Amino acid sequence: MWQNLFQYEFLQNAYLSGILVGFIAPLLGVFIVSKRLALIPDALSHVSLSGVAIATFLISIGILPAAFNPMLLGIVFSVIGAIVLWQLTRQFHNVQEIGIAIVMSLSLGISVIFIALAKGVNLDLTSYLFGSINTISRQDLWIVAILALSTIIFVRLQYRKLFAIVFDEDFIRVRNLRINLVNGTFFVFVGLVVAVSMKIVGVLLISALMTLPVAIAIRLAKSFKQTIVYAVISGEIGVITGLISSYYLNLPSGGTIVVTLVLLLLGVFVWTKMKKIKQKRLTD
Amino acid sequence: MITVKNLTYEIDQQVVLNDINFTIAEGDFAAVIGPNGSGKSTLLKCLLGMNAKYQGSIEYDGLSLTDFLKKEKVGYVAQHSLRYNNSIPVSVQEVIATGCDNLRGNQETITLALGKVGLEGFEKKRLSELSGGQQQRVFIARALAMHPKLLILDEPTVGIDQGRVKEFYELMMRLHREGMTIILVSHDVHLMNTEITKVIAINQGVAFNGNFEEYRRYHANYCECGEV
Repeated sequence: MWQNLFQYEFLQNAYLSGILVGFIAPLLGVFIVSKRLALIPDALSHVSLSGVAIATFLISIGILPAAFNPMLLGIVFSVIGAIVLWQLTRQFHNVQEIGIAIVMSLSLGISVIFIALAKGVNLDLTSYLFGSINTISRQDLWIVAILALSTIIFVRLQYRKLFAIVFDEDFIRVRNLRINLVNGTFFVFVGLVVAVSMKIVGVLLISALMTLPVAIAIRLAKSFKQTIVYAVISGEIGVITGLISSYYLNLPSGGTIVVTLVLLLLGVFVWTKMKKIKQKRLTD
Repeated sequence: MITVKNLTYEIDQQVVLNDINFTIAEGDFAAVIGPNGSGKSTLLKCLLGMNAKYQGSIEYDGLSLTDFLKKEKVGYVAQHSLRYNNSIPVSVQEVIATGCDNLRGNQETITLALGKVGLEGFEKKRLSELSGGQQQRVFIARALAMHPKLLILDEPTVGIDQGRVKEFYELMMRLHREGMTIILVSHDVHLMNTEITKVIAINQGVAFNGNFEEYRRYHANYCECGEV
């Protein structure tokens, strides 16, 4: 495998983009899960898919050129969706879950309609639903790399405000600190990360990459900073192990990544339980 | 210190606060009381600038609410502090850091704030591992880390076991004796009767406004009349 990795560009693209997404998805995921908005990545991946479906339809009727990459409209839709969901969570705090579910169903409905209408254009729906990491080009890798770098810089610079917002937004408002711009930018980054991750893990599995590493980290960490570190490490273990096993077992990468993460979660769960039992015995 | 004049607040055309008037002086320990749904929490949110669309005026030291909040700090301990996302690991020092200048957790400020609430050495502990009473003291330490001129607490003992409530109010009384101006929404006014300097009973409007002795007489007459 290592020989092929150095030889074939598509494998390099796949592994590097996977490693980058494995870093930034859990990084943002910690804040999303802390805000009790774990459904947001799922909703945005569906919104992104509707953008891809509409682009495919527009290509089929000649409004967009055949060479147009449908992913670009998917990214635009995901960012718009992120802003809409941000407003929704701000204005309708008590009914935000219903709002997210409505956005998700609507996007899926739009996707199905436009995929059906886009006759004559071959849209590999499976690759969008379950990911197709081997189709990632060098250009895609550059997009992921730039996004990863911007996400890390944004979180590094705004970490304190982001933490304060997810922990207790009311308290920060009373402190008279301006948080709307940071909050809005955060949602835009989530939209972008979800859209570019679509090819790597797929629409149906992207939320897993944002939430499963956090679920693992929560069981181990004692502080928020530690949660971020453990989530990123878990994300990377999931992506790298998932990609290697997908190569050797000839299975879809999205599925192997998610299954690896779930196995890791189960392992951590059993280990922490056993540790607690051992501690209890010692104290008794 | 605080002058509230003709304060009226409506939600969906329903009057929640109606023509509220009162003053609170510097160094006061004011208790805001009233039945559930009487508008106590809404009043606090108006005082904190969280409910901005009210009619009437709120002045702090002659300044408008907005100008005061830009200049001075108000420590706030919310009722829902006990309902934060408990599943997320957060250390005590991370919580207090959100009260520090620029949200930067200065170690000295954190240690000092924890010392004031009797939680020395708790910096590295995970918040969810603490009892309800200890958690609420952490939130008070966070408010104190701001070096506030005024401390506002909204039913801070909700969810704390009875044994710890007295301990909690002793802390409040100590802070007041150190010179802190405190506004507290609570049902347990009797536990601090020696300390409270002002009672404001509201039920949409102000039903009573005076010191604790006057309140006790008012309450006794009120009960005798059978108007409860």
